[in-house]
Amino acid sequence: MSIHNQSKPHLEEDDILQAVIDDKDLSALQQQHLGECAQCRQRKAQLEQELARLGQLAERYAPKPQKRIVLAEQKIRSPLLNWRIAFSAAAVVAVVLVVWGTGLIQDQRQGSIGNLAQDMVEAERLMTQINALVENALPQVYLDIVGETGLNLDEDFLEFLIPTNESAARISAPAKKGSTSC
Amino acid sequence: MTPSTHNAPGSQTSDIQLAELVKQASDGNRFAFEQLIDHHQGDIYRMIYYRIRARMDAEDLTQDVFIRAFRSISRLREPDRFRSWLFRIAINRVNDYLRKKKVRSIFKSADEKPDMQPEPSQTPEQPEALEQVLKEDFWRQIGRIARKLSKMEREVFMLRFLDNLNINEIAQTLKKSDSTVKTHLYRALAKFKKEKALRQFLQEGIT
Repeated sequence: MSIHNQSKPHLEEDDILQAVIDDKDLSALQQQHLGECAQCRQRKAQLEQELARLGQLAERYAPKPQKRIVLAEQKIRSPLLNWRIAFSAAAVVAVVLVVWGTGLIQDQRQGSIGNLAQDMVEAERLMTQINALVENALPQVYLDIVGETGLNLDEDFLEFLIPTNESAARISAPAKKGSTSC
Repeated sequence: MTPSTHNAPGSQTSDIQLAELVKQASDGNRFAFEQLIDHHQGDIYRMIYYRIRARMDAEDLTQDVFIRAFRSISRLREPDRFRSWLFRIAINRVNDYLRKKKVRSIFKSADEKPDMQPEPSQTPEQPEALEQVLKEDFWRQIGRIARKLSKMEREVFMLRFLDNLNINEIAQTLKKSDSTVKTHLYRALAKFKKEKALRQFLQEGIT
């Protein structure tokens, strides 16, 4: 306190600012002075009036809002947000398609590999049967009747039984008329 | 329809009633939240306008603030802090807006900055020429003092004297202690006292 009024000093400018912010922050002595001194109260009131006027003018010179608040959330979505949502949805769909497509291809591959293996097994079985028939065309029942199962016939004997064309020609050649042998 | 203001005469709602509305809104009561909107829309709109000075953007941001508040009001634990909570959302949105505007301005050439121009007069109910001059002068003076304050000084000063929040509400809004708010406010007031032109402007209105 520097400015003196009779016996009690007046509040300084800093104290007036302090009082405007919160007069409870002043010391008890300063608060007492403020309560008693009309001059200090006037200084404080003037500053408060200026600040109140500041708020009033700000409100007065601000344009009035012309739009009411609408709580529909779609209204605040910016185009950018919509693009983000669309892009996210497209990305999710793409991922799902890729995953699903990959699974489908794998299933198809696995299916085709399985079929191929089965065909090969069947072909091998068929070839075994054909080979067996080539070896001996008679069914097992007839082989049992003729008692020739398990016979080991050599090639000379088979040649004797079923001569080839070449051996047949060699055998029949000396019987021709007019031919001589050396 | 012009939204009601916080201190509009004839539309006073007690703090208890407001707290009850906040509780109901927290439980998902849309009608209760719409009543809260009616009560606070004017304050939030002006608070945003004071900082960005663009009416349409201020309206959009106000709408955004209330939609964000509606989405997250169920997480508000203390209904009596609803107002400061709302102001905090608004401040964050304003800061986002100003940041984006600053970034955009970097990529714009000097002749592509319509936002930097003063807001033109908009409606047929525009004030007379003298009023218009006073209005422009007022905002120019506010801009001048705002530039002389630090960010925190400016924020507490505006919240206290333009938005009419008390010290406790400002502290809750900015998540600072009361004493921190008072310190910044004291510094801002000291600078305000040195603004002779603005003070004279204000005193002319008082006398």
